[in-house]
Amino acid sequence: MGKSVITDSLLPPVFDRWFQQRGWSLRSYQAHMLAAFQAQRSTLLIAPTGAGKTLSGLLPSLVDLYHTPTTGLHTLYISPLKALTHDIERNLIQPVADMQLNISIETRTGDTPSHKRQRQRKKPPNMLLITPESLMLMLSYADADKLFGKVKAVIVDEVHAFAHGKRGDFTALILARLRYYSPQLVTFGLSATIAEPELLGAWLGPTGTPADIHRVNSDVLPNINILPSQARIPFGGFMAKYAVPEIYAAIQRVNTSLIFVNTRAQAELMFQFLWEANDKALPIAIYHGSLSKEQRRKTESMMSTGQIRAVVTTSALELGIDWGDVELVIQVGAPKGVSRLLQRIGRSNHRMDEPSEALLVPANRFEVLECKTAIDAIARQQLDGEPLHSGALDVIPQFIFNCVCSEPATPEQIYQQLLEAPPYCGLSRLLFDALWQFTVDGGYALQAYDRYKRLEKQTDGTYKPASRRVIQRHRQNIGTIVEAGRLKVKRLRRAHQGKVIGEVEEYFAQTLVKGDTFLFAGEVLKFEGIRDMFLEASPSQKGEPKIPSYVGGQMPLSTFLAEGVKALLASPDEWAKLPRDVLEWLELQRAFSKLPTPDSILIEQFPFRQAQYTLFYTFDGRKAHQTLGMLLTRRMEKLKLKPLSFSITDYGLSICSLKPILPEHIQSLFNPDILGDELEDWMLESPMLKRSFRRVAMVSGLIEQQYHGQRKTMRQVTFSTDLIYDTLREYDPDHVLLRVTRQDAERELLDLSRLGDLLIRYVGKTDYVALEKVSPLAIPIVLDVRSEAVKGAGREALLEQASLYAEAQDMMEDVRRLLESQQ
Amino acid sequence: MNNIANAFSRAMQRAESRHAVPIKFAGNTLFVDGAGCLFWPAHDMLIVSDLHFEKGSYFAVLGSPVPNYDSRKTLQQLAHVIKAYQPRHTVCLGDSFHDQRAWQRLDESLKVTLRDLIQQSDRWTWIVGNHDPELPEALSGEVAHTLVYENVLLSHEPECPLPAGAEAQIFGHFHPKLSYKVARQRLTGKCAVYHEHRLIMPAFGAYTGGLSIDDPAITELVPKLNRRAVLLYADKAIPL
Repeated sequence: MGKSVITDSLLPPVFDRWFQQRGWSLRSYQAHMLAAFQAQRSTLLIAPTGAGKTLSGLLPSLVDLYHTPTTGLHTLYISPLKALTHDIERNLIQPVADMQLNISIETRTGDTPSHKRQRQRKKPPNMLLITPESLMLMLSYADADKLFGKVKAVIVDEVHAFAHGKRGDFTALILARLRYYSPQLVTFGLSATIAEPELLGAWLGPTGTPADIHRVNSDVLPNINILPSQARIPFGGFMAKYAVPEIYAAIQRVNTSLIFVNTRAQAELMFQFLWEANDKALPIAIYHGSLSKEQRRKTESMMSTGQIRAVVTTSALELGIDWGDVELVIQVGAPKGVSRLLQRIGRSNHRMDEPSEALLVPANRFEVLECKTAIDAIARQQLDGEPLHSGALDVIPQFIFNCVCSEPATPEQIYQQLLEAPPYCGLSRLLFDALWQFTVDGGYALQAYDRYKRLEKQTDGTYKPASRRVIQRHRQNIGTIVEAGRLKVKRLRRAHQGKVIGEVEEYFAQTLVKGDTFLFAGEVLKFEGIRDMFLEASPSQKGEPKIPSYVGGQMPLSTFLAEGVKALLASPDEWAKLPRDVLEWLELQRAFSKLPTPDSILIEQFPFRQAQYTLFYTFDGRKAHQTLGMLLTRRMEKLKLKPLSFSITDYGLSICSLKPILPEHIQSLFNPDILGDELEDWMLESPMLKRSFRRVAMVSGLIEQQYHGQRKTMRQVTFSTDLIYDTLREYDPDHVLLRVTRQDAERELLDLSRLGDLLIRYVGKTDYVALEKVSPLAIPIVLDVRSEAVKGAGREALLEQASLYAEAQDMMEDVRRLLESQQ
Repeated sequence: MNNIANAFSRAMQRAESRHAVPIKFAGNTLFVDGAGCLFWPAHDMLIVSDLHFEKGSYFAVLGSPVPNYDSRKTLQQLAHVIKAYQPRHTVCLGDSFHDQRAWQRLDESLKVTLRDLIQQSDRWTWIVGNHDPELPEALSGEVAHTLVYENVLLSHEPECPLPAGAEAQIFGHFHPKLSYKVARQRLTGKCAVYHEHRLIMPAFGAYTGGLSIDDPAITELVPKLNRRAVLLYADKAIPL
């Protein structure tokens, strides 16, 4: 009865009837959101997938617009994914039509055609479904105050998926700016179940006024199992091929399944494997972010009408798109984090009171341990969480510029708005001023000529953009997701004509020569050439295809899971439940070398492929491992061990050098004093900092992000950010962008405090084992080829070995004789 | 002859420390230096190419707030190699200035530095390039389209056919770089690349990126077959 009382007071009859027609009743948390809107309380709604979260967030706006029809923007719905905005639009338009409500709803993303965008500016809809980047662009218009002045509600969907990153900072700034235009607006956040909701609540409200938190619990635990397989589980890499017959059998048992993998390249591989096994010709599709919009739309619509039995996909489908009745989720490769796994599993069975069904397919033996740990954690309802960082600094120049594009402003005004965004509440005025100066004219200490200004000071103390050109440039470059250069892939039917089927990274395109075959969009293509920013390829039947390399998409294992794996390794009693292959592998490791234990760090040393490898099993997170790698190689350089490179894994660190690390080196290597002053210099030199600088330079507007859109006659015209970084360090070491770069690296790569703890905890507690060859446990790690180069004596020595010095020596001998003969 | 012997011994000092490496090109002994220049002891001649002065500020004018320290860095490097080789003749092989207004934007103190450097050679030649078809009038030094020494033509871009008397050519323009893989490690850097009758100089300017020597634009001129390269890596010259 209580429910209907709420319904009477909050839900107008026309809504009530619509609910009844569909056999629904207003859920208590939907009523809660309606009440929150009336009370003007910003709220974070936390509910498991399948609970109708999005409708809960949008319902209050529909009701309010029903009571008081209005023109202009009333509600903004912000989603991290373009696809999600289209999906929500479809799901909203239906009830609005059914109830004959006079409410206009539209989407706006990077894909929206320009005529539609212009119309939206002149005649905005009541509800606009939009991505953060498109919203920031709208905020840069001179009429932003009129457009956004009457906004009553902002709904941020899937908050947990992006609040932690740079895009989250970007979005927090957008919310601050919207509150400036419309101080009375209410913000609703929608999130899946997370470990620390208070952090997201604080993020959602203005500084100092966190949003209320409303939590919906699910009593039903998902049903998750590791897929049993007849074949042997491979040692390392992504080798899920062994389980394809079992995966295929699982697909056949249900009507619709989603197959998640961790990267786009793996999606292509898995898709090919499945079609090779597809003797019943089941409709199996592929879906990932590199495929063209048309391709994705087609798959989406076939999926929602039940024409597809299985889709191989990446995180592109992780978020709340409604895919009809998915009965089974198959995760291929390790889940990497408990929360992510739950999110993916939630894609199946969109009814919250029945258990979701999921199968885990570990792609190698280490991943079996991860899967096992994750299943145990879910059974115990433990979640992993990410801490919130202070806001990324490179986003600030972008924000400053965006604000003054819409209306002239003083530094003080913008600074006050920044402080209202929770990630930036601690930003010092000094640092802000440096970033402001950078935005105005670059802020360089040495100026060679009357510098060009991006912002101009006016007599009243406010600043405005210096020209239309800089405004245009800024608008073209809005966004924080820095992508590697990309080329569109054109599938040729005849000479230079064909359809664009997606994009690959430029780096990959450059590794191809005419005739090479590669796997893309689920088909083997033959590379023909690059023409006008298109990669041209024709369908091919033969050849061992290369796999496109996609930057990004590598997911770090959550620390929580890494620790679980370490604990599992240390307790052989638990192993009984593991597959036989894995058990044998661990037994072999115990016999051949040692197993990592909780209270010491195992260090293995062995020769491998013409070099010396040392593995440190630290289990302390990729960031800490990254920093440890930089510091250890620095010490090794000093000890003349000639380090060449290191690679980090979720479990530890692997260093490759010309000379072996011996037991007597350990004390000096694994010592807290490596965190001392040598850290700074070495870090500034590292390729990682240069990569950070590249991102920072693009986000902050130092260099063009969009240059791939234009055609250049010669590639060397483009700038190398490495060269800029070097001169900046040399001539302007205090420049604010170097500070920003350092902060960026610390956010993304380094975890100094954690590393300090690790080193202190394990002083003298290392367990060094010298081996003749690679150990069973090390195989998956050394097979991982991504590594960080160490510039130093090691590489020079390698070059000397490889180079043609002998010939040069002969010539030098000739010159010496010549010189002697003349004396 | 004594001058030439001195030139050889200065080059040998660089070669002993592996900062430079001697090569045979069209019968001549040249030294490729890890700093990005070429030294020809028989003519006591230093060759640098593609300095691209004020490339940074050129982009700043277009609205990219790129730091304009590139000319400073390039001049410092140029001073460094002139001090090491003390050449009688210095040749800038074109694209010395990134654009026609580069000289106007160049900082006054740097103009003084450049003038000082020019004074240090008996002879200074500016070869014109596509970026600098005209050189600033305020600068001393001779301006030329090409030079011929022995059997070698010096120019900014490749010439075809070669003028009478020339059998080989040295040019810049392409900013060659190479990537070398050894023991699973990859090393990348600017380079000089040559075969029997063409030598492409590395770009000397601080902000000059590179074009892979495997790019068709370069392989058309110096095919993979029979080509040699000298990699510039950490200021050392490494023949590959």
